[in-house]
Amino acid sequence: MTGSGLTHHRFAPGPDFIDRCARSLIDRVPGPDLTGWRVVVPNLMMAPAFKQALRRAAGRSLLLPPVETLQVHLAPWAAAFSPLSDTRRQFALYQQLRARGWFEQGNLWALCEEFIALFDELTEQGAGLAASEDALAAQLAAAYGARNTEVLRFEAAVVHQLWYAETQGAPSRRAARLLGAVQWTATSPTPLLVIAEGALSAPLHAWLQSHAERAAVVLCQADRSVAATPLLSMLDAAWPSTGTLPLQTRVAAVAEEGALDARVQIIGVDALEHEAHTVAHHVRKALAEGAESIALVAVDRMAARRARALLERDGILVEDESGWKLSTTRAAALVDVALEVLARSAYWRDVLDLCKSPFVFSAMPAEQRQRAVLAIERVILDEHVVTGLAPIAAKLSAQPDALALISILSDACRGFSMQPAAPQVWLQRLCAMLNALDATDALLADAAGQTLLERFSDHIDALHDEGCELSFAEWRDWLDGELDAALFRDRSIRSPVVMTHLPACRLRHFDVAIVVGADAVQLAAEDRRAIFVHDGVRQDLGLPGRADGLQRLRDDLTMLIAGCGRVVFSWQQLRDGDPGPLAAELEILDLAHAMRFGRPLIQPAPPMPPVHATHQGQAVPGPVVPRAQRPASITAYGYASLVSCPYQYFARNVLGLDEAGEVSEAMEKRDYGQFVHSVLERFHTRFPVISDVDDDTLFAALEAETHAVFGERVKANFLETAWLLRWRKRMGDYLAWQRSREQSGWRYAESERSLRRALLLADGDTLTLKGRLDRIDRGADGALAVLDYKARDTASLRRAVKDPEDGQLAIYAALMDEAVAQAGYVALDGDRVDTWALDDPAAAAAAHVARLTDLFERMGEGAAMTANGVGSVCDYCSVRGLCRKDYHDD
Amino acid sequence: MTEPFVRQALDPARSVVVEACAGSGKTWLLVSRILRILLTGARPGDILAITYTRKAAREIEARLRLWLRELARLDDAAACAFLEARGLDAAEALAVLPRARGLIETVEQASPAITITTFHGWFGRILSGASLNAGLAGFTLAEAEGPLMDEAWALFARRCAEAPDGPAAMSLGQLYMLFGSNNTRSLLDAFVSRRGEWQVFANGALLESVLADMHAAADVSSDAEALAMFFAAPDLVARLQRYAAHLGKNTASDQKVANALIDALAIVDDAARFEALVPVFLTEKGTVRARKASKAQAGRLGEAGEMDLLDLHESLATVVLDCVAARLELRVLAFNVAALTAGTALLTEFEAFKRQRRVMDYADLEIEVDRLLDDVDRAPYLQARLDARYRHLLLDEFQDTNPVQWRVLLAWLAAYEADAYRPSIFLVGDPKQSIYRFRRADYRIFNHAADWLAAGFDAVRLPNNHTWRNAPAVVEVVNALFVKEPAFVGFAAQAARRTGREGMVHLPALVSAPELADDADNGSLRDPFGVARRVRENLARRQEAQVMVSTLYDWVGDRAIDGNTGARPMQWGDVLILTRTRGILPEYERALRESGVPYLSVSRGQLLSTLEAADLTALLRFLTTPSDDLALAHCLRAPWFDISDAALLALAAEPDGDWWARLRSVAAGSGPYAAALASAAELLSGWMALAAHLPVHDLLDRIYHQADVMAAYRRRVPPPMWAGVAANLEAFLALALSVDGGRYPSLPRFVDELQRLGRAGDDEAPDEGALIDGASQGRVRIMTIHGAKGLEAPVVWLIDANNTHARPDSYQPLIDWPAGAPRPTHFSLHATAALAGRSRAAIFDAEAAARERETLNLLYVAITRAEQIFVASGSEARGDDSQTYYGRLRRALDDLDAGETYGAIARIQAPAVEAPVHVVEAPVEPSVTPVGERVLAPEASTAMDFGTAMHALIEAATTPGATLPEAVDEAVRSAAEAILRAPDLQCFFDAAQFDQAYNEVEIIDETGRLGRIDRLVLREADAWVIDYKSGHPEPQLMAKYRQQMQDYCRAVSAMFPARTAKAMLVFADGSRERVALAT
Ligand code: SF4
Repeated sequence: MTGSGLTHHRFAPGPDFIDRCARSLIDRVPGPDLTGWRVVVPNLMMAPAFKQALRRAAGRSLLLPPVETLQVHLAPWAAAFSPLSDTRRQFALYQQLRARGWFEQGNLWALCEEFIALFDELTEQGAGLAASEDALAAQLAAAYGARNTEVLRFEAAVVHQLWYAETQGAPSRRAARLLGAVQWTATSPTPLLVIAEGALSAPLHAWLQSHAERAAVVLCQADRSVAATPLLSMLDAAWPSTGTLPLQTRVAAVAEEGALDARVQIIGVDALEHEAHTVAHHVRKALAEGAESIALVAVDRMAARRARALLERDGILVEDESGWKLSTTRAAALVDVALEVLARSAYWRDVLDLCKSPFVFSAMPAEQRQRAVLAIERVILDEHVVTGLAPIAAKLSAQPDALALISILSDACRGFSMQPAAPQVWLQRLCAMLNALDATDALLADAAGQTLLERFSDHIDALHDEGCELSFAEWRDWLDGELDAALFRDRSIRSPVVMTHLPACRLRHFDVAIVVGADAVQLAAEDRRAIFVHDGVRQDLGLPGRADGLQRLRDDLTMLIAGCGRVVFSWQQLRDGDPGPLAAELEILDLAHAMRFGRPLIQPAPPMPPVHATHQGQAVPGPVVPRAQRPASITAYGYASLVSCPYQYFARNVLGLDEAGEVSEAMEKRDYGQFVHSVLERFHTRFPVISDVDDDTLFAALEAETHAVFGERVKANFLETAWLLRWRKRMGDYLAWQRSREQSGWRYAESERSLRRALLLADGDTLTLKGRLDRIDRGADGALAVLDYKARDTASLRRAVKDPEDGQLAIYAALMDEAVAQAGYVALDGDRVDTWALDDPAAAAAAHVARLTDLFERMGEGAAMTANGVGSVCDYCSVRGLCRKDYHDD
Repeated sequence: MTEPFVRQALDPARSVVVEACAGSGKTWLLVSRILRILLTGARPGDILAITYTRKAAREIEARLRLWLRELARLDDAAACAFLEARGLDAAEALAVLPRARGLIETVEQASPAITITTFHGWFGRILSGASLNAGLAGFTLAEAEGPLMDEAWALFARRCAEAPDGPAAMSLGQLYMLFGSNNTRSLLDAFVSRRGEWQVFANGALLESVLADMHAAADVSSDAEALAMFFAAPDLVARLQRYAAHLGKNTASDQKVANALIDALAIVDDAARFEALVPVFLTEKGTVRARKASKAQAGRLGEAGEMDLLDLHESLATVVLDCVAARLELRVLAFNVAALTAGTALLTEFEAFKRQRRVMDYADLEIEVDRLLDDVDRAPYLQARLDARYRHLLLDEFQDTNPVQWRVLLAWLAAYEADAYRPSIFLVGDPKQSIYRFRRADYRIFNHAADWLAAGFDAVRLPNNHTWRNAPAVVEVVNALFVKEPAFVGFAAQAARRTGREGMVHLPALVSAPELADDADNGSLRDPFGVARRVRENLARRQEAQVMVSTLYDWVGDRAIDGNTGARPMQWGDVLILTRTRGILPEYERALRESGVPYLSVSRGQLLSTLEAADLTALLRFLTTPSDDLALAHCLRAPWFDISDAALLALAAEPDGDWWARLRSVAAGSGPYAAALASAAELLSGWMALAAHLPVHDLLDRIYHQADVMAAYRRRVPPPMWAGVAANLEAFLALALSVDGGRYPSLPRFVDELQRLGRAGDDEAPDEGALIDGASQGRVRIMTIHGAKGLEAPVVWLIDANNTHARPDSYQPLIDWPAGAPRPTHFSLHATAALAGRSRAAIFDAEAAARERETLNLLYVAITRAEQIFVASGSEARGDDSQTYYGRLRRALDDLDAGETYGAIARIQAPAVEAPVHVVEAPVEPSVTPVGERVLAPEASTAMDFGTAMHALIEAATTPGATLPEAVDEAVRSAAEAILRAPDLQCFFDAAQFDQAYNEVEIIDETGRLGRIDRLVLREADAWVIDYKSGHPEPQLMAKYRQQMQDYCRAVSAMFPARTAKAMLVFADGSRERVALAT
């Protein structure tokens, strides 16, 4: 072992960087036993490569030193200072913010995060704030070049007070690490080899120096300004770390070997899909050329994910090094929907989403469970259950499985207390609920689920005596943030193709690296700080500013290019149709390259893989209905469909396919029509004739029936009052209309009458015409009127009765077995209540019945049910997906 | 551009207002000015450029970057020429050259960076800088207002239900009575969306006081008062009686009126009496009844009598009208009170909800910034904090600025005063191209701002009416047309710079649509099997489209287009079809398709309304709800399965069960469709299983792959639609990535979200996949006028140009905000024309004028897209078509003495060479063998935990100075102690008995293999490798253990050649196994 002292090496990044680091240790240690040393690596990913480098340097087998990140080395030392965990710190700060009430409307959790980030930065940089609020305000004012106003003092006060509070209690983990480091030096200073990807922060550097007084310290720092190769000098010419020479001059000095076009490609693609295909293409190419390690540097996670899917199509698996937010996993989705069920009183969509989660009710066999869930869904749709579990359970008595699931669910909900509580209590409640839902085992069997539950139980342990009381909403906000912050990494794949991120590539080697999303927005220097945005202020406080961020990015890119065999950058030239500029650093690199070598680095992307298929067209459907499947009955509604488009009729009535019911959360026009029908039916049952009844009585009666019919809906949703009022507004009119009708001799006879009539077809089959008549009136002479209430205005009904295509009234007339004197629509909406009747109901009935019979006979003979709807018929057609009209060539 | 114009406009030291006509090179000017500013050595962060759309901002950035790149690379002469073209003289150019060359780096690395953005982008930036002050910390931006409004309504409903007799609920009820539910919702939604103006208008006052002001402004305070005033007029009754007396002598019908009048006068109730009087003087429509002098009448009444009657009629009608108007005002006031009461209550819920969820939408950005900057202290502070005391402001497309934005700008500029320096301001725009009234743009602000800048900033105003784009013939029509439009205030004749360019404006005769739409020809009913229904509108459009297609066919390849390198034959890609609304396009597209014209509908609609998106939605819906028969049938018919109707009939014929069950049973049978259905059923089952665990995007990707979705669509989709459909299929995947890649993904939630988005408004619903530029090559493009802003094409064809249909503005706030005023002078709500009222007439007139102006602006934009040929076509209108686009163009051509065509385009001899549509060959993909493997995550077994704990304990116990782990399981402890206390092992644990020992030491051998030795002890002549095992020797594992020990020994003996490597496996049960190094 050699003596104390700090040896500082600066090595150029590149493939031999790690070997030089290893060599610097081997040179110091004669034997095979390196265990007396501690090696600090900037990230754990490089540890295996470093160990191999040591062996190469020594040329023999070795007893290895611990190779860890500084954080890991320091962990036991830091622990001695009992640091406050980040979570505890979060709650402490949250309580502060809440108690002070500075930001009533703000998202306190987000603020906590920002303050913690600021405080950590201050700690890390060994910086502190001015001694007092006033001093800080003055400092800010000076840096801003602004007056020291009330607003400015507020900012200073907030930051200062929180910082003060933070520095009073137990140290943060970062602070404890620094304390621990000092302790380490003091108690057992081991020799250190520190590999650094750039300059160390001031406190760390100071610590190393003091450590070096007691033990040997070798610092190997990657420094691209040590332009050891033409490649690096080219990169440094483009991205100088210092100096102010013009680009032209800088590049002129680069040697011919500094040309990058053999190893760097910048590829502009059209859009997301194109980018994914381009990336996949380059991966395949690299593999075909024998690459053994390929990094997908996912600056754009979305495009990288898309590319990964394309690669998996070919069986090329991608190992995920960077992981995903836990909140983006299915397991977290279960947690969220469970809480949503609680928060929104079992809103039907949440209930179904929860029931369909692959994790719940795992005690029941899958098939059986699926059937039970469908039964629940059917009840919800059929009964229009908007919220609540009880109404669902009430209809499931005949279906024990489904009922069992609903009771599990309601028990789980009931067991979950919504009383404010400390976070660990909330987490316990949540875990209990998951347990009650039979989800725990299934979650444990899922990698993300396991991470999730472990995290919960870790928190429950760590927070066991936390006293910060939170409401349900506050806790959920915290949980959301927590699930966003936690990472989940799928460790089940081992592959030479690795998805990672740019900082994780530092000082590592890949045969090929593909940077996905190299546009100006995504591949940019980090520059998002909410609290001190002003660069001058950051400088004053000793915090890194935008310039440092820029250098960091340039360092990273240099290390990537120098360390990897080949680097491909791709970026989308269009984003949502807008031009998407290339990352500025790459733009300059390309410019520098073009200036020096006359060749650009930007290259065209391979076009999208062609879609091999020849156009065959989409025939207009015209199926033939076997006689056996020809419907035996038809309604006026079906007839309307048949004449407006035979194919629509075919799909709806021959195939029997119609829209699945929807839970109607708000009343619609057709519900309204239905409601008014009911009111009138009830009303006329009581008052078939109104002529001799006074208005007050009638109004009261109508009002009562209306209340009976509409009441529930209005109670459930105040906005439905609109429909009630809409009808109430027409009542007077309706009574007047009824009176005048009675004056002209018509008497209400009956309503809601179902009728059928058999039509004999020429082929011997019978077609039953069916219908339900809104209302039938009788004249003084026994004449017959059929009326259909419409919640439409008079103008549209006037057109309807003139329209020969509108066969509804004619069909109704045809349904009566005696002659109909009047067949008309009653407009119950619009400006007045009025009747519009067919000119000659008998003739119309005969004509439409003849047409109907003819159509059915021809259907039986094999007439094609052509899709020939037009205009609004198609616009509102529920079977457009079967018809495929949009693609018809005609 | 003329030299003095350029020099002045680009001089960074002076403020300038440029009013630039279409095609005059606005972007060039703006970017040149930025460049000139940078050349003065300004910090990039001193520059703020604001334009109207994000796209425009990106384009300005791209252009700037391109130029800076050029400047860095060009040789000196070229670079100087470049600079001289931008208003520098030769000496100046040379002097700034070194700086110019370095600008690209200066700009890219600047901190703060140059700001080129939209108003919204800028506002967002201001707010982010104010997070600690505005109480806005941690807010996120909501994409759309729709879902927030839904929640607000639900909360509002609950609030009303709690207090059904409260003012909000009562007001809502009144509105429902008056307008029904949809209109009420529209009215209040519109109020909420204009909350910015409302708040500025109210200026902090409470609703009560605003309402009180409204009441105070009313002439009368109640209906009773209005009537009383009417009847209180002196000698009213006498004059009515005299009037009646005259009528009594007049015609029979007048005598009836006289009787009615006399009867009316006897009515006691004021209101009823008045109602009875009204029809005497006014028609049903509310206009004064006509009453004229006539000989016969004079005969009956005498000359004087007739004169008196007519005088009385006029004067009485006037007072009646006044009273009617006064009463109407009261109704207007009443509904306004109700609407504002309900509206503000709704607004309160809306704001509370957003606050609770901590979201803001775009409108809030504007409101919050306005509020922030209203504070005199805060604005300078913000500028400082953000390091954003811009010294150069550039405002592009200024005609589309809205009053609140202008207010914000003024507040921002006001904050400079304290610092006593004045930024330079460059304002460019064209009031003639202001077409965003629906986004509250007010073109009048342009003129106001120009005057304001002239007064306060010595800004020069530079008109530029020279277009580089349009041919003289087109410009002449533009001039002829707009000079005659009085609403087109401030129009100055334009001039074409390319004087030699041929051009023409063509107005084909209007097509006349067949009169009857639907027919019972000869009385019999249509045969639906054979004949489709005929709809008048569609027929007209079809005819018009046919005229268009045949005209274009004549021209393509035959007309000379002014290309980059001289004349060339016209191609399909030269044509741009413009429409005012997207809704009418299908009919025209069909015609293009049928005649084989390659086209691209660039006016893309909502993704989810396309058939391909519906197909995928149906599939996903089926996968979440297998009982949805229609969804299943739908995806069976989709191209990827392509199941025939006959097969569906076979499924329908199955006796029972849902279709999923039927599908499986038919597939399992031996019928004619079994094979096709079986493969569908198999794929569906597979996807159903995947759906439970895979993220939606990954699921869709499998589906795309396994069903070869792209190829399937390509087979079915008409070729002209293919590019769009392919883009949509990609966009759907991207949607799955963005929606499902977000928080808490689940398939049911995604399907719900699709359904919600499908119903959402335009601002939220996802757009169809963007078409990349290359795709349009060689194709006719179809766009809306709004979408075509900023574009140009040799041939522009405006379709449906004779449409007289205009949608009235109803159920909206009525706001009068005079250009430049600090706040609106009027804010009320407008329901329908019947409830307009007299007192607001002037504002309605102004609105109508603004609407008229915007209509003209749209036409101006449409025509000026055309480089050479502009065509407008349409069909005969049913109403007055003098004010349609076609009508106005027709007048202009008449004024130019032209028939169907003004100007001409020469024919060209050369054969047409179509630019090939995208023929770059895709590379041959290298075939690769699969790589990577899936390994099962190591099960966390109890045995392993036990072993780990035991190792840890032993390690701690044998490391000097280490602390023993607490709370160790008793079994673990005893296993560890069994080893630690074993007498035979003390020689390895007792420091006195060995030279050196290592715990948990990692080794690497010559081949690079890594290993970890539990304890390595150097003792006497030996190097001992000790390995602890927690259990007892298990025969099946021993071989592996031994192998490992031998490997370790080999490595150890290489390291310590002087010692003999020995190994021992130590089991907790007391057994030992010595491993000898095999030689
Ligand atoms: S989309 Fe039109 S043509 Fe097709 S089935 Fe429906 S109505 Fe008929």
